[in-house]
Amino acid sequence: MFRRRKAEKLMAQALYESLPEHDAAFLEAYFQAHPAAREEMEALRRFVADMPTEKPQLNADLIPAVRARIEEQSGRLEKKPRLRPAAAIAALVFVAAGFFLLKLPDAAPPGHLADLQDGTAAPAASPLAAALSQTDKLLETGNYADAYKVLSAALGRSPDEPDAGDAQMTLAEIAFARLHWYEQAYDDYERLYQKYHQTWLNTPPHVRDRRDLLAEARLVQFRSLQDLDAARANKLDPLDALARVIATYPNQAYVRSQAALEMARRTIESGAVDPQSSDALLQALRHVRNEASDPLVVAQLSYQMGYLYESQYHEFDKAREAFLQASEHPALQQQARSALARLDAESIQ
Amino acid sequence: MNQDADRNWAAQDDDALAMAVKAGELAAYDELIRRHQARVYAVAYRFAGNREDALDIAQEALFKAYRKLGGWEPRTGFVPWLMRVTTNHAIDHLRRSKRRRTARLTDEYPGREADTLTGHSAAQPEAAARAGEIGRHVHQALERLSNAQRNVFVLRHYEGLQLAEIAEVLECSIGSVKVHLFRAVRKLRLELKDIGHF
Repeated sequence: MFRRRKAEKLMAQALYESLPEHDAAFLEAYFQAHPAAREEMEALRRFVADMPTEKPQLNADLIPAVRARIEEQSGRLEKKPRLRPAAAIAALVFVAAGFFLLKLPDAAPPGHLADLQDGTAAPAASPLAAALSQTDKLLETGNYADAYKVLSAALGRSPDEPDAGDAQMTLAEIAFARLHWYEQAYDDYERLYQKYHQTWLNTPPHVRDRRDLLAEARLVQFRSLQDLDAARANKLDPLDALARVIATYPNQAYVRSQAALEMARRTIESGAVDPQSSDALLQALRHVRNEASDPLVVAQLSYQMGYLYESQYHEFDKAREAFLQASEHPALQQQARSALARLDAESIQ
Repeated sequence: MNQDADRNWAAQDDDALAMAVKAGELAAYDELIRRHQARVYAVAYRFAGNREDALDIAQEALFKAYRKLGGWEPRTGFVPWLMRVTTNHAIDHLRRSKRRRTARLTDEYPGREADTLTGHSAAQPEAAARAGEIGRHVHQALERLSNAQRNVFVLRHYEGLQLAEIAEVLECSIGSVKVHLFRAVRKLRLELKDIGHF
């Protein structure tokens, strides 16, 4: 029993580190007495060698966000507003410019470490936290409307609790992604942006993209998004329905892009393109473009190809060619020219 | 903060920076974050399994570490101590799992705007999707380990910490680390073998 326990410890160590001589001798003797243990050791070695070890890449600088948290906490302790007016204006400017994380001005007073020790500012358990837990359960069972209703009511009663920003973001996400209540989602994302700005600053990029998408769709009373949903649900000829969405909304850049990508995905699903291919999406876009007749649809698909060449494959000449084709249509001209300018700037660097 | 000060902080070792933070120099903490944020994020990602939660965990862990630095002593290396704060926070976070809602809603929406114009997360080719599938299975298998087993495996396999360093991070004996590591690897192999990987 003790020998087995010791052997297992040494096996674990030997998977990653070299053993001292006497431990290696012990393990070898153990293996000779227990051939199955040797087999397991070899299997574990192969497993560890095959397990991926690549690290997830961090594509953001966390310093501004951590700084903001420290300063926010310090501000609470000093009974100051969360963001001073100048910082709030700076936040609006930076977010409008598309920055993921806000860099607060250095002039903001840092919190003193001694003031921030554990226990000095820990918030009490909030009633909103209970509503969030209930929302979780409702979402798990697919009761999205009830989840929205419960959380919305709780947030209305407790708009200033520590979890309020998180609750507001959850409401916006439910309204957009689950219920497709686009007008409501627009209002919710706006409230998140305006009232819970600190939460907004820490949101992932897709949340900010959704706000932009909704702002654009609002110009046509969200009809573009509703038509996109209908085209996605079309069983008879979804490609044609999606192409019509592109052609119908020349000024809805986000929706056009979504429709184009959806056409490519449907093409992959149909088997027209090998889904195992490393450039399946690109092939699918090309395939759909070859079939398309509407000039705006062709231009939009060219733009998507250019974007993929640029961002995924780093084939800048092909990206340029695709963007040039896209720029031939008036609706895509400005967008494609911006992309070409970006490529030019990258080539200079 | 001026450039001279930045240069000075960059020349300091971790322990000296941590002591400076304890003395009230917030700029020294910027340098510590700059050095270790990728590692903190990587550990957070192993526990969370998605970018959004990992960013939350990493940011909050770095904030917590700042708050707790008053109790840190140089006899414990700064990095092992930071790893301990990060793993503990990751476990707490997942227990609460508030943010899982958002991740779930994001993952299930059929179209993602980020694919298109902004370049934040362009649509992945199928090969990447396959790699993502394996990654998801690995993450699910990791979730089935005990906290101790997962901590040890993540710190050894992904972060490359020596067993003695892991013992320091987790405040346990090296023997205990070895036991958890053996059980973790054995269990992961069986879990992933059952679903056809490895």
